[in-house]
Amino acid sequence: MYHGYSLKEWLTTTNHKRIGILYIITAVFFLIIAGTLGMLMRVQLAAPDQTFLDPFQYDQVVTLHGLLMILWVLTPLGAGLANYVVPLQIGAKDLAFPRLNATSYWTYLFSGVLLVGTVFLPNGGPNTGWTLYAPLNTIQFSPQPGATLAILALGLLAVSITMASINFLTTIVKNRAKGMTWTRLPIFSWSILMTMALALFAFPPLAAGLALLTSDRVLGTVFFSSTQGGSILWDELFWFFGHPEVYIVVFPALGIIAEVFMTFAKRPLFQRKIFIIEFAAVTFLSMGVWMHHMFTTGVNYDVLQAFSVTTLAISVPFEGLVLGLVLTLYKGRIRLTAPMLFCIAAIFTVTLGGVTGVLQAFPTLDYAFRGTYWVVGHFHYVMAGTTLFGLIAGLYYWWPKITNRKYNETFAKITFAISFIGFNILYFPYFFLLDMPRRISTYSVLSGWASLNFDATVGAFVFGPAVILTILNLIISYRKNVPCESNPWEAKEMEWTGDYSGSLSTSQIPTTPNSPESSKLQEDDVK
Amino acid sequence: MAGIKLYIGIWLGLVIATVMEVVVRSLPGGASLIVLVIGLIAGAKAIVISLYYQHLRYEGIRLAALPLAAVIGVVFLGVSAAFTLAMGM
Amino acid sequence: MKNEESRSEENKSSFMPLIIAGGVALFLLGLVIYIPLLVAGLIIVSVALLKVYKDGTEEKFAQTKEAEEEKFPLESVSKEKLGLWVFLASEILIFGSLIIAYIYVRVNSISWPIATQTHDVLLGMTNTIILLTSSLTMILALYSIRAGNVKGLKICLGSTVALGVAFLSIKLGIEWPALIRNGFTINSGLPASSYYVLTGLHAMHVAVGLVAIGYLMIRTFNGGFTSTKHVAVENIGLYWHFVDIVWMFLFPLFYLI
Repeated sequence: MYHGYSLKEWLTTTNHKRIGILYIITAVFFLIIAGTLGMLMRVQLAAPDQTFLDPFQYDQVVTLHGLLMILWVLTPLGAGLANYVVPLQIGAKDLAFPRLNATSYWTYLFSGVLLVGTVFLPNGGPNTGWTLYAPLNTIQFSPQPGATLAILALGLLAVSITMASINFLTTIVKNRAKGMTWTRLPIFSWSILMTMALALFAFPPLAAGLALLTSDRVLGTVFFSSTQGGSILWDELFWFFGHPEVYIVVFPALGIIAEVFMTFAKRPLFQRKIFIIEFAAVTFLSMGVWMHHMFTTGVNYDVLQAFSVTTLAISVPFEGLVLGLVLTLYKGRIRLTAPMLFCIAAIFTVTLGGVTGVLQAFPTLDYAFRGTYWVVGHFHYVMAGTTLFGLIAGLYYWWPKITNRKYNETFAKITFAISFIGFNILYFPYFFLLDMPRRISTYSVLSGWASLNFDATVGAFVFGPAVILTILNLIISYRKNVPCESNPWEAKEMEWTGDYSGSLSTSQIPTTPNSPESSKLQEDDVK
Repeated sequence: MAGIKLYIGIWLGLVIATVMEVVVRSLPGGASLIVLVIGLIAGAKAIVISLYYQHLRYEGIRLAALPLAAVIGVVFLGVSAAFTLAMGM
Repeated sequence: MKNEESRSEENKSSFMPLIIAGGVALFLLGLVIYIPLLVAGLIIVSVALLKVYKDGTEEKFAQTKEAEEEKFPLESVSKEKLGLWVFLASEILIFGSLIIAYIYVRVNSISWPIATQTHDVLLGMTNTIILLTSSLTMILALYSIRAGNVKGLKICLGSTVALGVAFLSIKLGIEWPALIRNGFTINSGLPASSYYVLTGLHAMHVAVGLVAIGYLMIRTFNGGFTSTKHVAVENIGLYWHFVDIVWMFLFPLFYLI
């Protein structure tokens, strides 16, 4: 018996709550694998001229770490929380297409199994970096079958996520309860709506590129090894997907931070309508910045100009979002619970990550930064920092809802402190390694990079175990703790109160959840 | 919902348009002009099928906004890609 | 935990999602390392789809009417139709990206074979008209069942399948062998590669559409459709028209210009 259900019930479920739990467990499982790969990289780079991993092995570790973390850990962790929480927030019985939902999950799981399985094939897995650049991705330069399988696994994941986006978009548009108008839609559900809309637009071009690449590798076509197509064609298709993808990754975390801030500062979201408009602006603009990943490929000057402008433009509404989150705390009665601490840390990391990112929007600077550890530092601050911290906060925040138990708060705060310290020791040095190329497997002692790399490795050995301890805290609390009350945070959002029609005004604090008035309709609901 | 006559009429129009595309191809004239005309005919056929066979004319702009947004996305990808064509690369 | 689930407890559990996902993964694995696995994967997916078919014809997972809901701005669109249009949006982006890739490599090429000399244009035109006609029969199928005419539905669905099969037969049985005999093979160069990849993916979509229409026919013969209940006919029709629209662009792109 698992959590009250039999194994068969877990294997055949189409229920959004159980599927959400499956997503979360699987994502954590891949997190441990990808995190271990990260640790291997840090061990290899701790000192100059090491041979712990040879270059080919190192490249595979880098590739799998990146692919797994972005696509099989962060995105699905958001999807898992979305699966559990969004129907509760909008008052739906389940997602619009429950069997499709289950199919999304199992497809995700098997695609990850295939990807990790590539290391067992002759000559191992993909060695191209997560960006799978051409012509390294062609059969001539990475002939191992593991690379082909990885590409197919990624295609399968694209199918999984497309199915999920169809499901969530239809659900949020069509399955809202009476009284749950668009203005009343909770902010986390808004963030998932944006995430899934982006996913719908971002993944098909990736699928197209993967189809052409598969044709190259299996059927002998030359789309990406010819000069007519080649690396630029791959860049077009990949980055049209790849940039929106990083927003797909961070949006659920932003939604969670908003929810957590509102609950633990006992304040409404600062300027909610403007926040949502800014969110929509970032979503829309994120489809128009992608060529900033191609600044140094020798493309047309007009491209550099246009996409530099759009990239700078997107930072405006994005900073508006961050500011709105921070201002939500103003004059709040702040409770520093573990989820709150992680969200505050996430604001810190998104500020640093954002600043280091926006500097790359200038092509002149990008020529210096591109392909160096500056970039690696930037995206780890926003992904391993803001996104992961936000998602962990979400796990802690909704843990009482999912498992009906509280986790050990003191232990959580301790592991938070260790995580945050370790995280910064690990990634802050990267900004000072801005002349060190990324994806190199070792470096000479003459480079002068040795001491910073060693510091970073120390940080990894603090951050990594802290993440493991976080997971253990959650698992142990589930097994040992007693059931808690249904709304331990005194949160006002719908998944806690069951109040979809808004008869309780947002400034009221409900004394008991699911009060008798919660089914009444208010006059201003007519829309 | 439209009647049989409209559907068959549209089918006839689509068949004629298809034949026209082939005829235009064999006309003399600049390559760009021929491509443009054929492209416009093809686009018109697509729009007619989506408006009438897929009923988008009757469903309204709200639903039509979805495929329209996808088309705009494709056009945007194409226009941006055009800027990276091998012009002096 | 279990007593909290009373909200959503109608028995909707099924092994099919797991089995279909596993079958597809096995298929992909077999493609890379061992062809028998590919065949096994195909068989598993086919059998699982038959079970899904059967569940569909028995309406085992038919949705009960949801309670009063907020639906702005798409009140009049059923959720199945909305889901299908969202899916079609993603398909527009996939085919659009592939077409752009084709145009990209073509514009970048110094020379490209002349379309009208490579392909049999009149045969391609005829095939195009066949596919167009299948769109007509598909919309007439919907028209029939809306009027309660089940016999008309059967005839129109059957005609659509026949025309679709004709389209594929001409393409795969006549056009492609002729091209291959002339040395126009998939890896003989970018012109041939782009033709085969794009029209091949389109043909796969046609085949999937035919399977779906076959499902509609089975359900029709079991008496599953009435003048008020025929959501699947309309939605699969929408998919079929989309596949037709894609061909409206592929035909001139490959056969004419």
